[in-house]
Amino acid sequence: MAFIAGVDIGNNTTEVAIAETAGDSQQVRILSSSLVKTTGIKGTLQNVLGIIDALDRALIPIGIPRKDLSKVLINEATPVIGDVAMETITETVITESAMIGHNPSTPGGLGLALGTTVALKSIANESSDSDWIVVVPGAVDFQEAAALLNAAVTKGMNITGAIAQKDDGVLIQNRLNRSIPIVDEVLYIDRIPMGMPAAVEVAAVGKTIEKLSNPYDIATLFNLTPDETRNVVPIARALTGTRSAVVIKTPRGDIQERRIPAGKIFLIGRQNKTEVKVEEGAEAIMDKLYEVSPLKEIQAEPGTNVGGMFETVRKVMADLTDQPISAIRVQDIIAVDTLVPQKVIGSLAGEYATGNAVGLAAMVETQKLPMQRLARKLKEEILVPVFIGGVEAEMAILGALTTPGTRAPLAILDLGGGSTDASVIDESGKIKSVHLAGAGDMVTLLIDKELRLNDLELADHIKFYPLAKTETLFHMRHEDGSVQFFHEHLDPRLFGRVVVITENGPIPIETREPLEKITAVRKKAKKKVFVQNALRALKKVAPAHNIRLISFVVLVGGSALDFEIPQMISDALIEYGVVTGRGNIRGSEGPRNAVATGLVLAKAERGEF
Amino acid sequence: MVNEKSLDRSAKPAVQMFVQEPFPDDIIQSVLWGLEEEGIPAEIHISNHENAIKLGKQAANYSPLNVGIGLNDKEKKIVLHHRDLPEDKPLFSLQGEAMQADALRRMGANAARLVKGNPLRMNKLSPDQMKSENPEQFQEEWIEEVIIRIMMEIQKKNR
Repeated sequence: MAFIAGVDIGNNTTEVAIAETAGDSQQVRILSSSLVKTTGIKGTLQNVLGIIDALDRALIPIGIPRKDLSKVLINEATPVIGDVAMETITETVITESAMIGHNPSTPGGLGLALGTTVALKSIANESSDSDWIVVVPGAVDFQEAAALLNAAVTKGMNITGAIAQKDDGVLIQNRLNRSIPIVDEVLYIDRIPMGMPAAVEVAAVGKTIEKLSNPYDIATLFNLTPDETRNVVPIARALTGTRSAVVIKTPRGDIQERRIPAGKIFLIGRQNKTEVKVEEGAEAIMDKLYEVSPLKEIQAEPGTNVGGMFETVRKVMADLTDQPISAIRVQDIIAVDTLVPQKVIGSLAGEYATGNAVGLAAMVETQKLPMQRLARKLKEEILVPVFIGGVEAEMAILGALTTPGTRAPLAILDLGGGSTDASVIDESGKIKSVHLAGAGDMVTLLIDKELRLNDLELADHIKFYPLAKTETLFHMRHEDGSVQFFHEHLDPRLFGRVVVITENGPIPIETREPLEKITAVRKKAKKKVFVQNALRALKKVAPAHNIRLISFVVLVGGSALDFEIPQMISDALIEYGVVTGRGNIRGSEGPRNAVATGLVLAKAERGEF
Repeated sequence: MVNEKSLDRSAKPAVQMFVQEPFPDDIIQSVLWGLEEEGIPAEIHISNHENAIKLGKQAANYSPLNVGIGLNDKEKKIVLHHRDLPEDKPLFSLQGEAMQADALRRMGANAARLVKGNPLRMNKLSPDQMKSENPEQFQEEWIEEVIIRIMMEIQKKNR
């Protein structure tokens, strides 16, 4: 009787399966398994810590000391590294302060006002012939501001609207003898030019502004020429959907949507080569990719964001494998179009406008990771013989075939963090596999950018867990509509917010976006990356590149645990008549542990004990 | 004196404030401004005994909006309470030195937001304060913007 361990070191997790074999028989019985986070980049010596931890976690519950293991098998880790980057291709720039458009929670008053901008302190000296829009700095108390405005009106001045720095628009408005629209919470109030024609609009609760979001209405208000009207289109667009807005016409007032040159990608195929500009968008990039395929290498223009990302990926791989960076080639990319909120350059209230961006993931594959080195180190540490087992893809298939209800021919989709892999085994046991760029990490990046979180950990939580809205201090409504009550009152920081329900309790998402928007962003990101990659990967490994010729697809890997990705892939593949489902390794492990299980089974099959 | 019996049960739909006499005007005023900016009405009732937490809870129970504020100037304490919370666990309370004008106004705003179901305002730095607390970062951002503008102007001229 002997105990053996199969160890699978992945990009994100290290998994272990412990098996017991009886004498020289080929019977193996898997006793336990475990999963920990991979320490360091896969293939480096840092992995040893994680492996030992994983071994212990699997061994302790079954009461077997580490030294009783007769051997440890580690996978021939696929040398694949992926990285993701975001390339912005449009942004909105105001060259002179020309607009404020935002959603202060409580603006004052109602309606549309037209006038000339004037500072509150100099209003008393201005003439009473024209209409005025008064600018109220944060240093002035709202009572004083209201008093000054009332005094000016009494003197015969015509004050039509106001712009305030602090959140006191309602307070000022309530103290005025005559109601005017007031836009408040304008952060950079000192940048507003004085003596310029301006329009202020505040919509009723639950409504959005009507006039200042329409270029022709802006033209009407400011007597614009057709050419000038063309220039205000980006302003009108940026103001659409807000509850309050200010437009100021400055002599050179100009706002523009700029296309940023975003660098080129060179696609070098076996037969021909081509280049594509990133700013042409994801669709153009992917189309060109298919045209040139099969690919030999992908290069990016140096000195651009894409160029930088390609360099990082290649450098990490070069360091890892002790090869010169020139020997490392990027073999696959995936491009995805996204809309990213971007700070409007030159804005007055910190507004954001939606810009177009392309998310890119690149992948590098080399001959071999230095697993031998890792095996030696592990042996030194645990004093148990360590062997390098079979190729990861083959082991994964062997493991996947332990899912009840499956048999060869069969395809697996390994949905990981860094790459999406597909393998096919035919009746004769021949295995074909492919690794593609783009997986869970790219989804996380897309969520982070589209929701402007700047917090990858939170983005990762949003990817992995469902959302809920805290409606009262004692209950939440989950995204599926169900309501959960609590006995203790919830943290006030969660109140009124969209929260993500993690294992360690709810985490608030500090954004004004409604739950529906966040869910939509999450689903779209998953679909764009995983559905596209599932189809791409299966096409590459399917007989005659025809997905219809595959009858069973088993999903394995960390992202197969996701609560909606398997469904999305299944929906996409049903059109090809493919049976798709999440793997259930050994009928008990779910989609995890496929490679570790495959490793010990492979040894047993060959009777190598 | 305020107690459940003496109050008319048909209270107005407003955040109720139960305060103990003598009535510290400036404190109440700050809280009321917070409520006003958020557009939720408030009603004040005078009481002459009991502690702030008890007053807050009574106010919340009395309010048709389920939100109440209790203030006792003797113990220098003000609390924001909700009908569904246990009496000894008010949602927020401020005491002594903490009873600054902006903190009081925030308490008023939060009482209103509790009614509206909007996210509460936590004790975070306002953009103004950020400017003074972290002038370097603010300046950096600003300089970046200026540089971009200048570069665009140059680009325009070269065209």
